[in-house]
Amino acid sequence: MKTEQRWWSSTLTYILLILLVVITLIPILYTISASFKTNAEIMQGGPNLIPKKFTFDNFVTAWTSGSKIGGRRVTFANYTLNSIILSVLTTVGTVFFTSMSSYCFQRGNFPGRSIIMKIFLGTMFVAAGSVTIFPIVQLAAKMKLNNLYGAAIVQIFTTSASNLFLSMGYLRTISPQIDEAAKIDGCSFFGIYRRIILPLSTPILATIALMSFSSSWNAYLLPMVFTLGNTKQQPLVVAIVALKNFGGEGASQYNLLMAGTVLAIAPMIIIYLAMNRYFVAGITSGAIKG
Amino acid sequence: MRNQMNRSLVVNRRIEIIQSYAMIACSVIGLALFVIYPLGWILKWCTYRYNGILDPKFIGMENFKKIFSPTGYRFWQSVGNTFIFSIGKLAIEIPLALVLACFLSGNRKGTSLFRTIYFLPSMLSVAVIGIMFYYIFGSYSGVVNSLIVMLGGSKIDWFTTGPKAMLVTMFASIWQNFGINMLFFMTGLQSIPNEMYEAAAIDGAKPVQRFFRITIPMLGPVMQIVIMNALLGSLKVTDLILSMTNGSPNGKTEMMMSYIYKQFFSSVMSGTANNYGYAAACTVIVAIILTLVTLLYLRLTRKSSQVD
Repeated sequence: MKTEQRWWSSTLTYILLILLVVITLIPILYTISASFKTNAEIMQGGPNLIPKKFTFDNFVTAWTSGSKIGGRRVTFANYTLNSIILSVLTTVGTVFFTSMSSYCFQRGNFPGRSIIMKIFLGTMFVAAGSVTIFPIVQLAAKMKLNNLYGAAIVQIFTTSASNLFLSMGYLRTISPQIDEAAKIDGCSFFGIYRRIILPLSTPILATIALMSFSSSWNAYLLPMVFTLGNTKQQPLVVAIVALKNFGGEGASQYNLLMAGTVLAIAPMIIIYLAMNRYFVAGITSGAIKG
Repeated sequence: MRNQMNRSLVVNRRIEIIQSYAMIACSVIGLALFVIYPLGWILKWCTYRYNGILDPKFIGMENFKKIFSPTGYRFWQSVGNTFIFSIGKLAIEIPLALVLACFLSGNRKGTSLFRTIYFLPSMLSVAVIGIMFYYIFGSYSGVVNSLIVMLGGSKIDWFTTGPKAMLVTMFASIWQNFGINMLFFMTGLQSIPNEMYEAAAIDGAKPVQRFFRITIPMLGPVMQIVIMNALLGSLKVTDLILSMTNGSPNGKTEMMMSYIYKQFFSSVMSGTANNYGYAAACTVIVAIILTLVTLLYLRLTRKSSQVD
């Protein structure tokens, strides 16, 4: 009797879990499948997941002749390159500056340390993001930085406080005795960072790198606003939203839209499946312990 | 000898201070330019009539009066929509995440596979998810309608009426976020000692009783943070709206942040004149709303965080 009841509840649980797997995967799988369908088949609709006529043309067209927004034709090869430039610059910059400032705040001993640290953590939490984007882009325009590189710079310096928390928390676990020993051997403050702390903190920096890469690859509003005047510099995500909203011929370009969407999500899915443990660790420790 | 050592210590100390300042200088300048300056900008211009063409004019509280007059209808509509959206989606997302976390915390087969799949949507761009759901829920050729027709129903125009469009935005947001909240709850569950459950089981407590008497109270502090993050995150929803419905039909899915964004960039979006002062005033009101919600939330949940 008792085991029978347990068997039932366990089966019900699995049915629920599998149903949720189906709901989670349906939008992704249908998007991927649409990118291999002909435009006629996409427009016609239908519940079939496997394309009636399998085609690779959408990707070829997107990659080589691209989309036409506002009279200018830009290829998706170009958009992809922009995405890579933006994400790599943001990642490198975020890791570099986060690791240096967390070292200064955690190990440094200079006048104003604690007040500067409080300003950092406090304002990064209140930084409203999307609503302060107008003054940011206005300021960037004055500095001739309203372009892809400016977007990277702003992303680096408006990075979330959780990165700083993560990195400082990790430094706390590195014994200060190591620093002392190096100091006695004649290492300067920066020398200790470069020779000891930086190499020792690679695991946490790898997590921060992964998270800032994915968040800048996925970013929309900031890069969109920064490339308003120059659609050639748009990253993938910005380009496909523009194709959907202002495409003009957008309705008949569903196949391009779907191919572009797959180009935007595929790298994230691959990176996630390959390194899912690091993401999970980084995200949970950043939010809960921070 | 001693004097010399002291001097070298002083020099070393000076070098340390100089090096520290050099190392954080860039970050401090970046913070000042891109975080603090914009906040000051908003506080200044919310009291001006400023459209980028004519000379700005100080008008005191006029922008705020305008928000609280019938002209501010669109703004308050977006505030209302944001709260409907946030409360509606969290009412499903949080219990779902909690139940899943409990299911997956036991030594069930396939736990890590389920966890990996549920978390996958959190890795994707919010804007791209907007496009994917716009396609999936398309009225003519969308997959959802095709499935409904296949099961014998009739097609639904998802994006032409306010409530349905709102449901789709909520669904998309739940779809993206339930996995990450589940993960947070799983982390919290690990800190509950197994002995408590064993003791309760010996005393004859049923699984449901154990869930409400042990799991929920013990998760209190974690739950407080998770719900607050989820609440603030949904009140700030922007990209999803801009890429999926763009506020349509007739502003029924416009949210606070997307409304303010459009006020600032209206000349680019629709060619109408900008009104930066008004937009800045809306920003201030939204900041006050977010602060009040946070304080109220912390007050209401004070009890739950005091479990230890």
